[in-house]
Amino acid sequence: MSCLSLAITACSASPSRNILGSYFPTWMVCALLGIVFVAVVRSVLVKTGVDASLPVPVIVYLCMWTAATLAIWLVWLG
Amino acid sequence: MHDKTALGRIIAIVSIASALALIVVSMIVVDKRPRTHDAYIFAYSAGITPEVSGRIVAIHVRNDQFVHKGDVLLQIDPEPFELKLKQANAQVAALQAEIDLTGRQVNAQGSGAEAAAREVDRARQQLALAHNTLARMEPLLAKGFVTTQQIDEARTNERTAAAQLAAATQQAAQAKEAIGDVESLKAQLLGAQAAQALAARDLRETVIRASVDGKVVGFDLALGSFAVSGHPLFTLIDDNSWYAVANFRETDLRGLHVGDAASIWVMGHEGQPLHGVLESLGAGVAPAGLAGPGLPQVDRNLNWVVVAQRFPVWVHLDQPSQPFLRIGATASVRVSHANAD
Repeated sequence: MSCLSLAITACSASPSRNILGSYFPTWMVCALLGIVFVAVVRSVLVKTGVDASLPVPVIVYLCMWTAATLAIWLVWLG
Repeated sequence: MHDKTALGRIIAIVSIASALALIVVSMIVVDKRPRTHDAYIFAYSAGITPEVSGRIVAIHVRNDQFVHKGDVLLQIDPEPFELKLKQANAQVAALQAEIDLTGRQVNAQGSGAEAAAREVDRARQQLALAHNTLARMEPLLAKGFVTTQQIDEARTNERTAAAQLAAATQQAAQAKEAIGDVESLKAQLLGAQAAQALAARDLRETVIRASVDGKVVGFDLALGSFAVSGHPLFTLIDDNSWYAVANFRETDLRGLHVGDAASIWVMGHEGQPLHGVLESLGAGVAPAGLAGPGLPQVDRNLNWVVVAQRFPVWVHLDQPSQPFLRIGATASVRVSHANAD
C-alpha cells in the first residue's frame, strides 16, 4: 500500500515521448531501461558466480525485467 | 558454493514476488487513473459569415491574429447600403407628409359634417314653426278670420319644411360617412419604418466584428473579394473554450465522472502539463459501419479482434490560451479521481 501511495505521489512525466518525430509510449522507454537494468544485474551475477546457481534463470530474469520496468514506470509516470 | 545457491534462491524469490506485486500495483494504478494517448486538442469555433453581400473594402485581420470580442475584422463596401437606407428614410418621410396632408383633409370633412348637422337642426325648427302656424290658423277658419287661401299656404309651408328636414338629414348622414381616415397610410408607414430599420441593420452588418475573443484561422481573402451573404469567410477559434478530447475505451468509462480532474500533455510540449476538468463523457458515437445523425466518428484502432469502442471525453482546460494549443494537436490525458470541487 505504501508502494501504491508512493507511486501516486511521484509522477508527472508525459505518457508519450517524442523519439525522432514519432510519439512512443513512455512505458517502452521503461521496458528498455528494465532490459538495461537486467543486463547489468546479470553481468554482476555472472562475475560473482551466482548466475550459475540460479534456479530457472529464464523465469527469474524475466520477472526481474518485469519488476524493474513496472517500478520505473510507477515512479516516473504513476 | 552453498552460500551462492542460497543467494540465487533469494534473488529468484524476490524477483518473482516483486514482479507479481508490481503487476498488481500497476493494474490498480491504471484502474484508478485511466489514461489514453488517443486524444486531441479541440476548441469551439465560429465561422465568420457576412449577413450582407458585397465587396470587401477593408481587412483588419490576418491568420493567427488574436482578436477581442467586438473588434472589427472586415468592412464590406457600405455605399449600396447607405443608399438603401436613404431610400427607406425618404419613403418614411413621404408617408409622414402624406399622413399630415390627409389628416388636414379629414378635419375639413369633419367640419362639413358638423355644418350639415346644424342644417338639420335649422330645418327641424323651421318645420316646427310651420306646424305651429298651421295649428293656430286652422281654428280661425270657421270664424272667418283667415281665408282658405291662407290655410293652404300654411299647409304647403309645413310640407316644404318637412321635405327640407328630410333632405338635410340625408345630407348630414352623407357628409358624416364621407369623412376619410389615415389608417391605411399609418399601416403603410409601419411597413416603411420596418424597411428603414432593416436597411439600417444591413448597413451596420457591413462592418464584420469578432463574436468572441479568439484567433483567426483559415483566412485567405484579399481586398476586393466578394463576400456572399450566408457563406463563411474564415474561422474564429473561441479562446475561452479549449478542450482535450480523449477517446477512452468504453471499459474505462465506468471509472470516469464529470468533474474529475485530469492532466493533459500536448505533444511537443510535454514539459508543460495542462490541467482540466471532465465536462462530458460522450453520450454517443457513430456505430461502426453506420453513418449516424451528426454523431462523432471514433475509430476502433484494431479490428482483428473485437476492440473496445472509444468515446470522446471532453476535458475543459483550466488555463486556456496557451500559445501551443491548436485544434487537432495530439495529446495524452490522465484522469485522477480527486474531484475538482
